[in-house]
Amino acid sequence: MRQTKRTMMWYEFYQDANIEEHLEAMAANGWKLEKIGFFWHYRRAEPARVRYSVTYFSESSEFNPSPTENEETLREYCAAAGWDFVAGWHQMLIFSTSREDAPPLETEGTVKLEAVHRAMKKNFLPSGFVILALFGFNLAMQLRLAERNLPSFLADGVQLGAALLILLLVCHLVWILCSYFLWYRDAKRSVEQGGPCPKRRSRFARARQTVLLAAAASVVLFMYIPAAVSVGRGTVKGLLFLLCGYGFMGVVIQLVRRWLRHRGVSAWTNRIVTIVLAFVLGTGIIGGSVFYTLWVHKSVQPGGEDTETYITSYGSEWQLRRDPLPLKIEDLQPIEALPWSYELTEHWSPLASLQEGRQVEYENWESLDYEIFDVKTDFLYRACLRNYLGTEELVGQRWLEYSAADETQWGASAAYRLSIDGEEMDTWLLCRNRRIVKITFDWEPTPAQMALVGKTLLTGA
Amino acid sequence: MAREKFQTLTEQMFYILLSLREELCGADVMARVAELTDGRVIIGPGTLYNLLESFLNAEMIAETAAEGRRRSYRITAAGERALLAEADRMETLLADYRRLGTGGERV
Repeated sequence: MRQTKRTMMWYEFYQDANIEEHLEAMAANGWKLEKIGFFWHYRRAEPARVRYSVTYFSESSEFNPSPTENEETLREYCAAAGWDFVAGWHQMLIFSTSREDAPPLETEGTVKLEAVHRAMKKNFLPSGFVILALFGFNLAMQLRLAERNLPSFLADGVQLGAALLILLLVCHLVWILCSYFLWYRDAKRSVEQGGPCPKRRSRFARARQTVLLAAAASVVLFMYIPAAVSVGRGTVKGLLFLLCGYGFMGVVIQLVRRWLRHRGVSAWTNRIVTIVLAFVLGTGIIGGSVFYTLWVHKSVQPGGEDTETYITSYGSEWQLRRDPLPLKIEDLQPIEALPWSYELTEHWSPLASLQEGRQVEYENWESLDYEIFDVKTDFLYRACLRNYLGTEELVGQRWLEYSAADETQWGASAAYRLSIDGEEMDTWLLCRNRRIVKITFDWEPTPAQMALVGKTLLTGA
Repeated sequence: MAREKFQTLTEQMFYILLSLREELCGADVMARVAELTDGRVIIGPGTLYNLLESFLNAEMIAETAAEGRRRSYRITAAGERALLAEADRMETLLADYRRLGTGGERV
């Protein structure tokens, strides 16, 4: 029979009532809490009716080499009142007692509220705000990218997946911080009126955590990983490198912190070493994953069957690709026998897909560029079309804008032509169903060429 | 600031200060208060720890002896003044209550 058990803690750090009820239920089922951390460790014991009490002590820390003198004093008072210390985690201390007559750890609302808030200000609140600020800034940057180029953002599953994961984390942080401050406001009101300091309990804590984890896992499994796979093996390996690197970093930091603690190094020294180590390892891992991704990409292309190296007459080196483009210049008109490169890049997400096609020759820089964007819903289609059609200011107060063009020549349901400061360019936007094609020619296309482009790119024929 | 904090004393604050008219070690205060009040006032260990720290910071009690972590305390003049002020306040309440007549019956 299993003697030990490890579980995840489904409750927030500050939800003392939930934690106490959970531990009491575990004790009644024959599992006694031994140690707390990322996982909570239990040891098998006789099922017993045990009372647990959670308190918060601002001086407690994961960095202290041993409990401070004041924490020892508190534990001593608790022992005198019949409460045994069980485990501690950051500023949280857990006590238990089998005595029915043991008084509660806290008997005065104002004093309890002050102690809890002091402990929360030590770690939980500052770290919560710092993480929220960092990830909030990251999310704002992602939204800025989405605003600038919505189709590209929606079709990039890796970026969209990362943005969704960050959004989940930000929502979670906002929720727990708001929940804490709402509790603090109510508790302050209660104790000011002479009432007790209410326990913090959430009936949906476990359900909320489960939904959050399931949502994060779904984003990773159904968006992040398939999108990374669709981009290529370099991206997948880079992501794996990043994930393993973060896991390695977490383990190393924990081990170093524990080792320093074991050696009796002061809390401040331990804290500084841990922060420096986290910064160095974090920077190394991010830099390493970028270099690794680039290295894998680079190592794949030259050896690839469809790639060859070409040196132009003016001495620059290019990789000529032979990707299967849906439309080539030679489909539209005869071309010179020059070293053409056929480049197709595909992006995918569950919401949209984007194919970027480019046929180019590097001697005279003649090219045909187009992108085929497909989106899954009408709402997103309208938003993306608005994004494509958005007027843009170029350097030197030159204005780039699209105006409606004759769609019948293309076989499209709508067509728009680009102009810069009123001068028409050879760039068009073509729409049909929920597909948008943006195409740029090096020449003015003929009606026959327009019809062929529409037939090939808008219908996939 | 400390004076404002302890402008009025709660029952638990009052009895902790009262019990420290004799030198007591922290852990013994809980038992002493229960004894003084026949178990009517119970002080939890967390509350005791925080209140002793606050009283020490406000110089209402002073540490008189320390054997290892076992520290003993005694009330100071500032603590006595706080007790007296609280007793006066309660007497005023009681006097007002009696002067205005008793409105209800003891049940």
